[in-house]
Amino acid sequence: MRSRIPDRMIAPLLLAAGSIVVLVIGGAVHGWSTLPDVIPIPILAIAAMWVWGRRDTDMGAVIRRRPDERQLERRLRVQALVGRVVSAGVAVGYLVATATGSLLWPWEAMLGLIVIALVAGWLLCLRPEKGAIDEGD
Amino acid sequence: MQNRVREQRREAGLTQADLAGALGVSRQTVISIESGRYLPSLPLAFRLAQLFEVTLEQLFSLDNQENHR
Repeated sequence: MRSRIPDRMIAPLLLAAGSIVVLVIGGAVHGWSTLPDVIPIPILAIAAMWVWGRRDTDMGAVIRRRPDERQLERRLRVQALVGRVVSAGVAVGYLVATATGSLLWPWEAMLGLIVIALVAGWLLCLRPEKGAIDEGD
Repeated sequence: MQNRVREQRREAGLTQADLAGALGVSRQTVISIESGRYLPSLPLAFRLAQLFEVTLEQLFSLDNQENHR
C-alpha cells in the first residue's frame, strides 16, 4: 500500500521529526530558554529542503525520492563521502578523547557502529555471487 | 565513448524533456548522456536504441583510443 504522504514531503517531514527530537532532548538537558537560539536552524533547513525538493534538479529529484539511475549513482557517491568523513571524524574524535582523557564510550560506540556497518556492507554487497565462477571453464 | 543521442533526438523532433519523459529519466540525465558525461546503463541504452529504432552500435561507439586498448 502506498503512503498517503506525497514523496516530496517525506524528506522535509523526516528532517522536521528529527529536529523536534533533538530540540526536545536539547531543551530538557540545557534548558528551554536556549531553544529560540537554535530553532531557526532546523526551520531554515526544512524550508531549504522544501524549496530544493520542488526544483527540477538532481538534488530535487533525490529529495522528492524520484531519482533516476544517474541520480541514484550520484546519491550513492554523496552517501559514500558522508560515510568516509564521519568515519574519519569519529576516529579523530576517539584519538583526541584518548589523548585528553575525556569520555571514551560515545566514540567507542560510534566506532563499533561503523565496524558493524562495514561488516554488514561487505556481507550484503561483496559476497560472492552464484555463478560467478563457471566450474566447467 | 561517443554517442549520437543528440543527433537522433533532433532527427526525431524531440526535445530533451520529451526524450526524458519517454525514457522515464530526468532531463538532466538526458543532457549528461548527450554530452558524454554519463554512460547510461545497458537497459537504458537499449531503451534509447529501441526508441530511435537503431542498433546500439549506431547509437554508441568506442573512441579511437578505447578501440586500441
